[in-house]
Amino acid sequence: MSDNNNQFDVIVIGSGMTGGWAAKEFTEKGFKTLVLERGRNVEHLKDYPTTNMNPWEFEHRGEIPTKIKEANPIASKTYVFREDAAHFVVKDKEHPYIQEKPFDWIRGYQVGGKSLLWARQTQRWSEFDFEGPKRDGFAVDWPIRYADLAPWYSHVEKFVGISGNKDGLANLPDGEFLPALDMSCIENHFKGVIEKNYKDRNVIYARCAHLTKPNQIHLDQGRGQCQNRNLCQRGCPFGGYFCSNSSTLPWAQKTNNLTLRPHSVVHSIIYDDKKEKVTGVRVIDAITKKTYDYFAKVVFLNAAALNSNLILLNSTSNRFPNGLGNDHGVLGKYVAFHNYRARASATFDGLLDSTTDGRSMTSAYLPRFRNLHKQETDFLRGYALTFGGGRGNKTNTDGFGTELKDQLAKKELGPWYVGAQMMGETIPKETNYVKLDPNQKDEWGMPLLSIHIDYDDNDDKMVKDFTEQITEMFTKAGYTNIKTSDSKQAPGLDIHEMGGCRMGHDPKTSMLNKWNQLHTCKNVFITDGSSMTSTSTQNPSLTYMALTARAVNYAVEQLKKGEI
Amino acid sequence: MITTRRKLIKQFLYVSAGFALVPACIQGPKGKAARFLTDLHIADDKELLLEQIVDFLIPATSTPGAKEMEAHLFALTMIDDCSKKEDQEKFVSGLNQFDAACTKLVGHSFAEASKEQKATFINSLNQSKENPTEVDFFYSNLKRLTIQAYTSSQFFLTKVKVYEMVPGRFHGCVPVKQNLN
Repeated sequence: MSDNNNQFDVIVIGSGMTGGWAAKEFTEKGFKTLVLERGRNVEHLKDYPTTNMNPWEFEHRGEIPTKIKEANPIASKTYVFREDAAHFVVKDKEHPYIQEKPFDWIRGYQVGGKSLLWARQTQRWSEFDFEGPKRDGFAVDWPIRYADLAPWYSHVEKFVGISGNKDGLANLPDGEFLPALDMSCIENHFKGVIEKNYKDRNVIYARCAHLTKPNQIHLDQGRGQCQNRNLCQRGCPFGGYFCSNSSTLPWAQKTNNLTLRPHSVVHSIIYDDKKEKVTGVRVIDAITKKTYDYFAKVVFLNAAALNSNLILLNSTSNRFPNGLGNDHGVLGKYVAFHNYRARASATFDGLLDSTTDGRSMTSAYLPRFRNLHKQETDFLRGYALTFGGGRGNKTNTDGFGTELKDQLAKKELGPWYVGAQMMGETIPKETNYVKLDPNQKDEWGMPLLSIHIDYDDNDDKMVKDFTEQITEMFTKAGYTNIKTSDSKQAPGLDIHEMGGCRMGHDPKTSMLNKWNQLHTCKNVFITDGSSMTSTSTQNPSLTYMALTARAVNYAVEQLKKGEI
Repeated sequence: MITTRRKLIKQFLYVSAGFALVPACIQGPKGKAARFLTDLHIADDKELLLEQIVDFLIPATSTPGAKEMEAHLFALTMIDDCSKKEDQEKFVSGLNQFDAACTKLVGHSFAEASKEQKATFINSLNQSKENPTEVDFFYSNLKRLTIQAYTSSQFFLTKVKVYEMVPGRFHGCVPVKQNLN
């Protein structure tokens, strides 16, 4: 790879959900942008090896061989670690880290990152979410409110393509939507029961990043209508869902302002003590292990929540001996995640004259209703939940011979089965942190990340409340065989870890200002999950993308004014 | 390389002991399984027995059955690759005792039993038991994997219960009759 040209306008660290957006926004505006990705390239269509494979073409019909599971005790816990997409998930031994407390760190180190694998669920934050820390007295006050982000949600939603209904809920603002799919019989049934019995609870179509009806902007991206395959984690031949690979990166490429450098492990962001600003990024080539420096006026750090913390902690200088921007020891602290421990399932013997046809890529969603207008329960904040269901096939596997063969061919539907999953807000605290191990290093000489994150009392109480509430709701709906469970899974499996480099008003208690700019180093912006001051309940990627687009817009203004 | 009957019996004994002194994969079985198995060592006659069992479970009629789909090879792949060591050992042990159990009940090995005798024996295995033996363990797993092989096969998913890779639609609530076509 030719490294003669190492001077750019902008360097973006990471090519995933937010790195792709930073690249798109900067290159569109004419800025020469270098995107550094630590993993291999994954080109849309070309590098989706399993995308068109039929079930019988998978040697183990989707199951991961025992030896691979045993070699990957962490990665094999995630639902996407199946035969069709495991190649997009980081393997345990290749990227070790230290668990001071149990934490399942699920990563996707390739161009596109986890935007290849995500569940495409998207919801806007509301004012209730941004106000949370201030009203309820935890973390620090967000330096922004919903009104600051609303236009950027719109901006991002139009390009990404979000399918949804206008529901008119204050706690889950509507967006720029493509048509929603049908909700199923059982989802509508549940919706009817809940809205009749609870005046403050709503069951809505779960908004998702799928092109149910592409607009011109999507066709211009080279993407087409979602075909309801629900095989998104493989990469989509239609570009039907949003990922960097099918959308923002090719768009950036078209401008001729993008340089994409895969196999680039970022060692540190270079702070020049004399010039009193960041001048560039130090890269270790993932294959040759040689070091290269790249220079730019602005750096956007989008390496994913914990990775961005790691890079900042490793970026030391005379001015910043404890990590870039870390004057007050805040960096790496106040990390949080989503509580995904609790689930429920049940069956329903009604509506047996109906079923669904085709496939849905989404489900129903119940926005947070606990402690919305005021503090009401014995725990802070609350949870949203997904709700879905379908009719299984009733198959009789008794007997043998031609009778068994005929039984297997019979198409007989079983009762409706339903499931619900809790998605709970967790409270960021100083005792949940990440730091660099002082001794152990990885293959590239980078210090291992040491992770100290745990559940607390608030999380346990929330699980208890969900369990009680879902049982009550399912009972009112006439569902039977109600089973609830607490998986007691380690934090991390939610794949929604956030914080460590939080936004805030006060440089003494936060790292970033209201523009996602480091308080103490104005030409560095951090817009991935690490910037989150609190977690709320929503699936976060949409918010990360909106923060990114807004921050790029501000950075461009500042560059033009000569302020950075 | 010619495999003598003596060698086959030797290998049978090694497999029965739960391990193979001689890597049977190199010198021994000429069956298809030998080409891909890594943990398991299955002698030719046992591979043949597996084929006969799956054929009996889901026979060819006017349409292919489990034998035509090589369901026994799929079953071996899944046991070889996707099972824990103790389950692998139980499976192989049960396989090796299968003929003896069959003989005990109906007086003949599975291959030599009549259709009615096979049915009697398989029926006995189909009963759920409080204390399943290794033969029960072997049989129930083989049956499960045979059904999986059959119902996930190209034939089944294109001709019997058609799998739509690209549905291109979702209708949330349709009458049941309309859907079953």
